[in-house]
Amino acid sequence: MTATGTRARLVLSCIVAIVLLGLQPGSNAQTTADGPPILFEDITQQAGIDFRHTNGASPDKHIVETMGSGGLFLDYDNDGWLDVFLVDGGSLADPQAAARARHRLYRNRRNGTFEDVTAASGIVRGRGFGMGACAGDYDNDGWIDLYVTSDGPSDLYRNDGRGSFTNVTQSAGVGWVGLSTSCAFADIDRDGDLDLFVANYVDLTGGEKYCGDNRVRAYCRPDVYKGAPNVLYRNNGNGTFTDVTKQAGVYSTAGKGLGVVFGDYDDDGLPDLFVANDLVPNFLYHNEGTGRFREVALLAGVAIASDAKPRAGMGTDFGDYDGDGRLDLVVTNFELESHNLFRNLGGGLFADATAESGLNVATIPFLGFGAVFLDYDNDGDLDLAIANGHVLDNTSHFRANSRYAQRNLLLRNDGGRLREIGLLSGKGFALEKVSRALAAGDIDNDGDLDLLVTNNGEGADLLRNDGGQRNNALVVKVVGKQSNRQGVGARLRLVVGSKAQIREIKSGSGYLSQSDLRQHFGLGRATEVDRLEIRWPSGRIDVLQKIAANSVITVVEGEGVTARTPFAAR
Amino acid sequence: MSLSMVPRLNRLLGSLLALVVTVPVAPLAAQLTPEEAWATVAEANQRKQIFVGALRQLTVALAGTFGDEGPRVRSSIESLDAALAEWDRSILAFEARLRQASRPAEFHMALGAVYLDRDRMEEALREFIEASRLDPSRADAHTFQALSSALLNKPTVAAQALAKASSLNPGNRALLYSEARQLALAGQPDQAGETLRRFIQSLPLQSIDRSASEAGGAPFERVALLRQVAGVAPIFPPALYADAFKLLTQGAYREAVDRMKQLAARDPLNDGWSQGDELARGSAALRNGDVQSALAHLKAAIESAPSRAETHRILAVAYRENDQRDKSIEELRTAIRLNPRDERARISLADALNAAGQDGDAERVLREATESFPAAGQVHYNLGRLYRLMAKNLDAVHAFERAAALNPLVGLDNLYETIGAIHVVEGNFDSAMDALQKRVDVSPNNAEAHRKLGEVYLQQNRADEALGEFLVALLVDPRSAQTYAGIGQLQLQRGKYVEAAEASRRAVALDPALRAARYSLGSALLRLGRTEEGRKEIFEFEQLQAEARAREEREWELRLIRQAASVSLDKGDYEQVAEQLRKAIPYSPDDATAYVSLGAVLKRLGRHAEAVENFNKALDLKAGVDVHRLLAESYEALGRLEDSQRHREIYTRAKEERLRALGGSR
Repeated sequence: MTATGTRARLVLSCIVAIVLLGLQPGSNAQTTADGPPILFEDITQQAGIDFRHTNGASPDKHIVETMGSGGLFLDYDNDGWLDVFLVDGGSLADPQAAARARHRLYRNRRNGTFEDVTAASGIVRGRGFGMGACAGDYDNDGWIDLYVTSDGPSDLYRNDGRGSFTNVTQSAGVGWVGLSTSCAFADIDRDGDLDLFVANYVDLTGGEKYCGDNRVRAYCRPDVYKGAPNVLYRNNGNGTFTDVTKQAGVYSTAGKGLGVVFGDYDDDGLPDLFVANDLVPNFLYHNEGTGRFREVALLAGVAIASDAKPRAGMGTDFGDYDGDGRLDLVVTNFELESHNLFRNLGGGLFADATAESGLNVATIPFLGFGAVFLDYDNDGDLDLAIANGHVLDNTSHFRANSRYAQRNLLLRNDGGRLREIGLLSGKGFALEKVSRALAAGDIDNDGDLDLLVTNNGEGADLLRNDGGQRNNALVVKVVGKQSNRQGVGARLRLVVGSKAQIREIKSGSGYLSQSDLRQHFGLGRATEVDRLEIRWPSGRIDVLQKIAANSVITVVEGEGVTARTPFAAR
Repeated sequence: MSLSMVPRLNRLLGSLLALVVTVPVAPLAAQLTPEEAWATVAEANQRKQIFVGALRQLTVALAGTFGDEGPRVRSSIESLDAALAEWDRSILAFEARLRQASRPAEFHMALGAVYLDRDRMEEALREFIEASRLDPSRADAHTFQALSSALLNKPTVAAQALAKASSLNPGNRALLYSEARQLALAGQPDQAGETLRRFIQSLPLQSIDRSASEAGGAPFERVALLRQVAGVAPIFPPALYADAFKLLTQGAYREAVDRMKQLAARDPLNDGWSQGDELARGSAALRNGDVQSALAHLKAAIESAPSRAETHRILAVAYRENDQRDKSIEELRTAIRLNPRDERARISLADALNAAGQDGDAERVLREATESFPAAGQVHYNLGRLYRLMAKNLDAVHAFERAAALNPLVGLDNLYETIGAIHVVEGNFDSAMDALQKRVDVSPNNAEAHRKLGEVYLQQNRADEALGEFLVALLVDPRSAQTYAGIGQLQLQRGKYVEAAEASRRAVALDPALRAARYSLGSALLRLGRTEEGRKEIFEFEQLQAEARAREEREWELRLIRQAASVSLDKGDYEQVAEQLRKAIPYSPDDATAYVSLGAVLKRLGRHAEAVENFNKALDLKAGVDVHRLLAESYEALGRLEDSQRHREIYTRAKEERLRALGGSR
């Protein structure tokens, strides 16, 4: 081997290495600064999540069969580890199947496995066909409570603090009967307790219609039904609620609500409300601060897409994806519509950033439901995950290229451009199912965000993030004192060097779901946070400085950091 | 014959036809003047039109609708032959004159034009190159070099020529667009993109009206034997003649005509044809609208020659016109059995089966026909249409694409539009763009074609290409509100709110009810800080949207009612069908077919008096002639024989007139 030949072989080896490591320019491989790709592993089975959704699918094609169901992360026992709640559906055609359906509560054993504690929890399947859920400590007793929506009566379960729940729907006065979908708790009037908003879909009181063609019956589009009004309950502070829908200005039969999220989009300290409506314009309710909301979606630019057509709005989330300190908005839609990204311009206006972000081309083939902004790789900017799955189990009969089961999407944020990298992100994102809800949370407290996905008619998926924690992070749990106990509605602003990130604590978002109430910040390689501001719903602002990375901190309103737990090693 | 997109020159072909009348061709020995040269060009073009006229006659005859077209086929081919000979003689004469004359650039341009028209592209290109060499300042010489080069599939050469033409004629914006297209075809995407951007910059909205006016609604010229008109369904020659017509598209006209002569002898229309025999008499009667007489003659023809397939085919037509659908189908099956090579019978059989609701059988017939006649464009096209009715989109698009590759005489615009639309529905956007680009290539002066392509580009984030197509669409049709709205939406997405407002305002001025434009305008104004104006537009949009929403809700309700009726019909529950169709009437009180449908069901239920009431309402709303047949049957059931007879006569007369009109045009 000559010197020239040796050098040539060396150069060739380097080229091969570069190619293999995916470090060539323009590569789609998603790596941390010095490691292999970040993968989402499906750990459902080993975790012991054996839930299977009962969708009651029947030849009659009842619309509710294709909608559910919901799932969420919550720490119901306050042990600092995320538990899982999954909503079950039922059956309108088969009473026996309906009787077998039951919601499930899984307690995190802190070792990668979960225990089914449903029986002990007292949460039985409700009287209706289960849809979604949201969680919030409405009575400020320190234990998170649960509201489960359904087609039929929805239910409020108060957490007794002893591992069990009590159905207090009737006494609380929140037993709305209708086709309810997503819900969210928020302190809309800043009186220190959590109020409740419930989205409703369509009015089925006139009976269900026959849809499809002569050969094949199909699930109906929402067009064939009138919309059902949403409901806003104001917390009276004594365990009861009052329906204030009309006086708050949020009553409308023009909507067909599926996704709900609260967020202070204009940064005036008041929680505003976005409702994703199906095939009719979305709602953006601006909180006027007087107990009233004003619907401004059209003026704001988030009611419809830029071609002036309503989309099939399903799931939604607020998140500052471009890092400018303002909450932006994502809404998932039908296949061939592409999901929408609305960039907050300030001044109450949004721009349709679907095209400029690349979201349109990436999402056109998919029918989206759950959506969540999350910093999966801990690099300090918000990425996006979307759960997809068709609504028609016979969709290919109507459109040959359409698929019922679809894969979910992981879109990495590269300076405001969203690049779909799901197929490079492990088995969790290669699964093709009929997905619905999507929630993000750190189930193993290792500093990166894991995902919970529910699927219509089959089991849920728990996807563990392997690799995100190679970058640093900080997880913040807040405890309100003048504000509601969980600090729902608190705005957090974290600064490292010249870069700032904002988060808001939300109960209920996406589609039929809720993510971890603790707020996760990716820090990249930074080992310390320069500054963390918390604007509480009460109006108080707490400022913390010099916070070490890689731990879960608890911040109490007015008292600063009261607990710090390093991330679990794995 | 492929299409080029080259901006039109004033001084060519069409407008010079008038000179033929006033300027006689000079004798051979005299010096040729430019006027005489161009007069000769115009005369040659007239020869071409005669050739095209004969081709049209042949196409009509080849349909074989009445079975007596054999002689017409032969005579059309003879006319083609004669016209072509005359055409070529005039060209030879012109060439001879030019050999005797000095040849400035003008004469090379004239001869090039003659060759271009005659599809002698290499020679045309040679003449245009020589013209530009003699007079480099002539933009038209470069433009026509580009045209010829493009038709010869030499996009690099075409692009270079267009660049030169553009530099000599910068006011002609369309040259830049064409150059960008040729660069893209030449595999030079960066240069194509750069040129496209220059085109976009050269055409601000404020200049659109003037530029469009200069372009006169047709900034591009297409050189082809037959003009591709938007909205026209494709017409294909029978498979028997496919290779002859392919020679036509390749410019080999002489070979094509010679081949047609050979093939005509094998055409079933000429097989044993004899003027005066029973088949001929039957065809003549049919052509004259006299169905009963036709039936008599054709049955007699079959008695005397039962194994003559063509007779069975035409008898099927007569049975169809006599509303004897089953017998029509039976005769067509017989015709095919007797002559499996009869493409016309197979197509007719599939149509008849489809009309009878036997889509599965129709599909089978057409699929078998594609195997027997792979070159039969009409078969593939009809199969595509059937698949579309059956909601089998992927099969439909495959069939349409196969048809498009088989060189329809006309209708490529329609075909590519259909293919593109199906691909969009199926989410195959690359294929959609490909088809819609082809549509633009065959119909460059079709504003809607450019706009549709632009919309798909916009959806696919290809903003420059989208804007390019929208601007070309405006060059062709500056009064397209939808195109301005598309630009408004595009600029809104790009955050260019001034441009968005400008485009949207123009759209709204042209069509105040265009919701998308109102929304874009309002959104842009709000983001420009012009809050009051913006709110006003958004409010207008809300009103329009509410009205549209109400309309859509009613449409959905009607759709569901009709769907329910269809399901009941499948179950044979006619009472339920009647009830549902009655519910549908208020949704479309001016729709004649709603009353016809209800009447037909009531008739089926034996409720003839109610049926008559509905049929008469349909007549008041100008329903088709079939209603008279239905009324005749219902009146007969009610014992009202005079009324029955009256309507039967109206129906029969209307059918005769329709047949006569069809026979007269063929």
